[in-house]
Amino acid sequence: MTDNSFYVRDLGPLQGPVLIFGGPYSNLLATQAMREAAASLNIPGENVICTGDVVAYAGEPAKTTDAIMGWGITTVMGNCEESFGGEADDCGCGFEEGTACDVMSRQWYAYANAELNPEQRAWMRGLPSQVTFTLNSRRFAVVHGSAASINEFVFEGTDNAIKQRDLDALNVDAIIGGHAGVPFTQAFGDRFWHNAGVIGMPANDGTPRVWFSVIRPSGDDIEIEIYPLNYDYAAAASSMREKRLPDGYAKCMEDGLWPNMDVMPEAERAKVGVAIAPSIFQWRAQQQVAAE
Amino acid sequence: MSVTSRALDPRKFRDPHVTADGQQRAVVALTHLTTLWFNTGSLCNITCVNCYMESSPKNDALAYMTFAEVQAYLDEIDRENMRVEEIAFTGGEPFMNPDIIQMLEEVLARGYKALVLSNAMKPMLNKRDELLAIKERHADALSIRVSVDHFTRERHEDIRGKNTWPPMVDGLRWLAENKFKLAVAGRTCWDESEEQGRTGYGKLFETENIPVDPNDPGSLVLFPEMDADVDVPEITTHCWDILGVAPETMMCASSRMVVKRKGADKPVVMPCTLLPYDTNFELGHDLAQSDKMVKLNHPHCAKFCVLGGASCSPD
Repeated sequence: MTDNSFYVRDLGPLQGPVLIFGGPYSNLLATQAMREAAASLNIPGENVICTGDVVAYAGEPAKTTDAIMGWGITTVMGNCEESFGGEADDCGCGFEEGTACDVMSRQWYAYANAELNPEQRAWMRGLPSQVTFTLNSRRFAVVHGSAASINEFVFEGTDNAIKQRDLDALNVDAIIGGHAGVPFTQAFGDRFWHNAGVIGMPANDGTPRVWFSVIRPSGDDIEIEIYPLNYDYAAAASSMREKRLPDGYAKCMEDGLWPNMDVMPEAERAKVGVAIAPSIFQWRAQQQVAAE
Repeated sequence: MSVTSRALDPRKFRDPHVTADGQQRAVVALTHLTTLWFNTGSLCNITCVNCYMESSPKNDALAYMTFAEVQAYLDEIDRENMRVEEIAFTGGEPFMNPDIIQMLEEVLARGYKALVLSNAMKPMLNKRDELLAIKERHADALSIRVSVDHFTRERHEDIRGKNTWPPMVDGLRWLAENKFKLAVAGRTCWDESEEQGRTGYGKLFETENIPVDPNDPGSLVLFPEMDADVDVPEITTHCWDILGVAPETMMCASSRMVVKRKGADKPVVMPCTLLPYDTNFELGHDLAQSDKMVKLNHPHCAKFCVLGGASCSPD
């Protein structure tokens, strides 16, 4: 493997529930709460996958990276890891120039870039762009943005043709994406697209909760559970303010509303401030059989 | 009962994932196990009308929990560093369980708050000396919540049986005189508003000198009726937002209850105190296994916990 090359890590068949979370975003307290929740759910590190963007808006980039590196989980490379690993000039989110995200990202990116050490950057460079595994005979691919691009935002409201394009391209039963920051599960016949949400920032639902998911075998079926995660968001926000990071993101941690919605499709904008509910999506075995 | 209700639609509460009209059923995740309940056994010294536990002097479907069984769960809490705050006991009548005093001593010695739900009748008064000794050692860490179904003797006895009022009042007075931390649980199966209920209980507390604030919903808990045969809406993932209710405020987001079925080798963990018998809701034998999402697939989930009497329908 060479630096910045696209490579796929295959975890093979996994047993038991698999925990997925996205975007720690330098939020150390949320990352610690996530590890505690995984322990409480009895899910070992080898069955935990992070969909990337370990470092971003919040106050503890180096400590959060260490927390993820030391946990023994699998992490997919996010655009932030690609940028910090390659010592790029910006986060690579793909924000349009002059937008609110673009202006704020320059501030947190510079802060995080100054904090990270060479070992952490080397770890970021070595992360896979895609992770695959099988669970109950169904094949999953985990990407950061989409199969086509590390920084493509795929929301529930994003054109379904993009999701189907990726499911076809990767020839899998399910794709798990990150990057977009809002959890959802969307079925396409016998296949589906899932996003576990992120733990580093709320999901723009007007609550400070953050989100993760558990993909759980249940007999021959599979259940995809979307969980809220509660953590000390007030302390995380005050840590950001102490470091004079952009207040828009600190405020977002508290009120659960994103400072801007530049990247959001109309369908998601209509749901802003509507509290997300935990949910279980059941993927029945017969759906799989019918497709074969 | 004054309310005429439709029978429960048999198509409801069948598929754990999907409601009768094809929507995604609401679920609740365990946010943080704050209160662990033990059902001490379903035997009770009285038989009440419409007791959701079906407790009676004959119902031993739930066996007496033993001290060793309680201790094993407390050990698991310690071992796993769970931040449980309160250990609560319900029944049946908990003071009929031969190990109840030892259990309370152990829970309090380990630094938890303890709560016992009791009818404050003879089984409790038989333990006067032991309770005073516990009070001496642990002061207000022990609370007792007494069931007073109505603030009048007549209606209380309509539910709980003839001559159940005087011993309950004796027990309540004894707890008050000895300065136990007290709460009262009432029912709302009469044509009375909550305000009328609280006013009525307030007068009773004043007359009997019972230090319970009738206007504090935590001190005077008024429960809606739970009749699993009456029609109720199913709860979907959209209901939370429509109702303005957060799933994190449901009992199964912060509690679990341990029960021991008659003849079973070991106890089993249930999501809440309201579903002691339905084996579909069993979550495993230990607390680690019980950290699972709870699918709100029982009429009690809807009527008692989510709706509390409200309607989910947006129209």
